[in-house]
Parts: sequence; structure tokens; C-alpha cells
Amino acid sequence: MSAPRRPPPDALLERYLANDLSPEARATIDAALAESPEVRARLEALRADSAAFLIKHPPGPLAARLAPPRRRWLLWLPVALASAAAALVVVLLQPAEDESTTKGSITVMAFRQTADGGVQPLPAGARVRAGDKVRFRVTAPDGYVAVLSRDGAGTVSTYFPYGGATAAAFDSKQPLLPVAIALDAVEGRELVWAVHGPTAFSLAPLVKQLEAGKDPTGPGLSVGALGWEKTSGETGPDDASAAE
Amino acid sequence: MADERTQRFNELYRRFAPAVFRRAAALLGGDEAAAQDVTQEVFLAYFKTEGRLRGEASPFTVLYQMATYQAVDRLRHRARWHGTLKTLPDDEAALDEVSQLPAPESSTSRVDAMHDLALLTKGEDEQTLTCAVLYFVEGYTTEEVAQSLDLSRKTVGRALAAFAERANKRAERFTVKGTA
Repeated sequence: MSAPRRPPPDALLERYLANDLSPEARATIDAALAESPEVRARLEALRADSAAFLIKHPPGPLAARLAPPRRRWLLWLPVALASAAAALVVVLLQPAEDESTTKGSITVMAFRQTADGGVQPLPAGARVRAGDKVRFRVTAPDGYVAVLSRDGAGTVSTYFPYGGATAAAFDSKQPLLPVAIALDAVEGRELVWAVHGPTAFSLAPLVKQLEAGKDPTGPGLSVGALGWEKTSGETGPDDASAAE
Repeated sequence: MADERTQRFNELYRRFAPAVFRRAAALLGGDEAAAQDVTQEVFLAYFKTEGRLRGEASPFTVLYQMATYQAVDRLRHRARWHGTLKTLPDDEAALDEVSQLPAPESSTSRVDAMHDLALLTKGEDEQTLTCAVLYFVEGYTTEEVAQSLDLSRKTVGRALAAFAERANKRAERFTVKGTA
């Protein structure tokens, strides 16, 4: 006699229902269904709920909101220009360079993720708010990359790899880093550095340099920097026109 | 071209939107209006980034992780620290051996744990956050998390151990402050 089988969790039943499982995984669920009336009942409840959901919320209205992919950039153009102009006035960090300051072979750009999942470029010195989600685009050769920050309170954080101790492998064909940082409520000027090296490197010395108020540096490392001004307020872009 | 896109959108929506909605609703304590907002945000975002950011992961796993991330993000704005998840196991081998971390039994303690995890996962990526919610709050085994998200068990164990180490440090700060 084998021990009683653990019922499949909902996530797997959802995948089963969406016909998204491998044949082997599907066979496992089939076996559980054959064995357990409770599992069958759960699956049927999910199936009925799906049908009810689609009656109540058909795809049509949402599909109508799908904009042509490139139009968003046109909508953003005035916003980006206004933000860039504001950055010239605010002058936080090397205003002559609108992406980042660089030392070596790396540049870094920041993008604010909008509520609908789009991205909005953040020029140097842009104003951001607690709760904004920020992503980074790095241009550098294949190698290793880390993104570090020092916020208005002097606290140093490792944004990429998040909380990591060493730089992460970087593929130059994937410049958008796979992490979205939700900004905390610490106000003031936050500086961000992207650091690139041809081989893996430890982040501890760089964190120490930042904590000491210095810029990060090390043998063979290239550094790009940018900054923003964080203000208090509700989550969301400071330019209402950036949202649909 | 637009018709093809709309057709693909409709097809994916019919196939996966109910699961995305249920996922969001479960995490948001049954708030159907918020869950519907999350569902819409997730699908619009998915279609803006599809093929560019998502690699080869299946649409379900991507959408499921996006829904979890967005729902937890909403939860985080009103979350208070309860200390239910004060110390998470951060030894990879132990995580793998312990086939199931006991999930909070009562619905109240599960809500508390979810609030704690929402605070502890601030800044984490979608995949790590989803693994953490499934394992530390919902009581999935590492194997079940791996199967649900199309990951290897080793990847899940490693991600959970690394997350737990970071989370334990954050938890110390919450505990010292005595507030979120």
C-alpha cells in the first residue's frame, strides 16, 4: 500500500485546465483525478468558475485597448522632452549626458514601469516617487554586471542581482535587466551605478566604497551612473499624460 | 496584422484569464474588483512585452507570476508587519529535504503571513516572489513550485534559500522597528 497521494495544488490544476502541462505532468494529474473525488470536484469547480468568468468578462473590451505597439513612444515623446528639459534645470548628475555617466564600456538607462506594464524612460535627475517600479537597460559587452544604489539616507542597496553578493552574468543581447525595483519611501537624491567586468566580481568592496561616500571602482571594472530625485507621494508617474 | 494580434490576445485570454483572475483574487482576499484590475493589467502588459522579455517560458507561468507580483504589490501598500514569518529557513538542502513547510493553518494567520511576505518581497523579481509565496505562505513543496512554474527543483531551492537569507535580514529590521 502506498501512502496517500497529496492532492495536486491549484496551480497545477489550473495548468491542467488550460491544457498547459507536459504529457507526464498531465498523466500525474489524471491519476489523481481517477483516485480522488475531491480532486475531481475541485477541477470541476474551477472549470465552472472559468466559464462564468468569461461570460462576465469577455476578452473583447480589453482587446480593444490593445494599442499598436509603437504608438506609445509617440505619446511619450512630449513627456520625455519635458522631463529632459526639467532634468537640465534640476541638474543632479552630469546634465550634459542624458543617459548616464560612464567610465569604460558600459552605459545604463533607467525606465519607469507604468501601471499597464509599459516603460517610460527616466532621464538623469528625473523625479520619482515611492512605489514607482524601475527597470534598467545596460549596454556593455558580454560579461558580468551589477547595479548598486545609494539613497538619500546613505543606504546602499544591490538592485541587480537583487541583494546579491557577486555580479550576475550579463548577455549583451539581453540589455534589459530581468528585475523591477519598487522604490521605497526614502526621499532625496538617489544615485545608481551599473558596474561591468569581464569576469565575475564580488560586490562587497563596491558596497563599502559606496557606504564611504565614494564612487565604486575596481581593477578591470567599467562604471555607468545615473540618478534621480525621490519625493513623497502616491505611487504613479509624476506626468499624468504618461498614463493611458 | 492587428487582427492576428487581437485573435491571439482573445485566444490567450480565454485560455488563461480565469486562472489569472483567480490567482489575483486569492491573494487579494477575494477582492474581485482589484483582481479584475490585476487581470487586465497583466494581459495588457504581457502583450506589450511578449517575445521581448519573457524568453521561452510558457504563457501560463509568465502570466501567473505577473499576476502574483501585481497582486502582492497591491497588498504591500496596505500590509502591516505581523512577525509571522520572522525566520525563514535559508539552507538550500534543508528546503529541499523538508518537502513541505507547514502552511499557516487558519485563514487569519495565512493573511498575516501574506502581509509579512508582501513586505519581505519588496524589490524581488516576479519569479522569486512567486516561488516565495507558493512555498512560504501557501505550503507548496519545492517540487510543486517547480512543476507549477516550469522550473527545476534545484532552481526553486536555490531561489528560496537566497530569498530567505535576504528576507531574514529585512525581517530583523521590521522586528526592531516594531512596525512596517
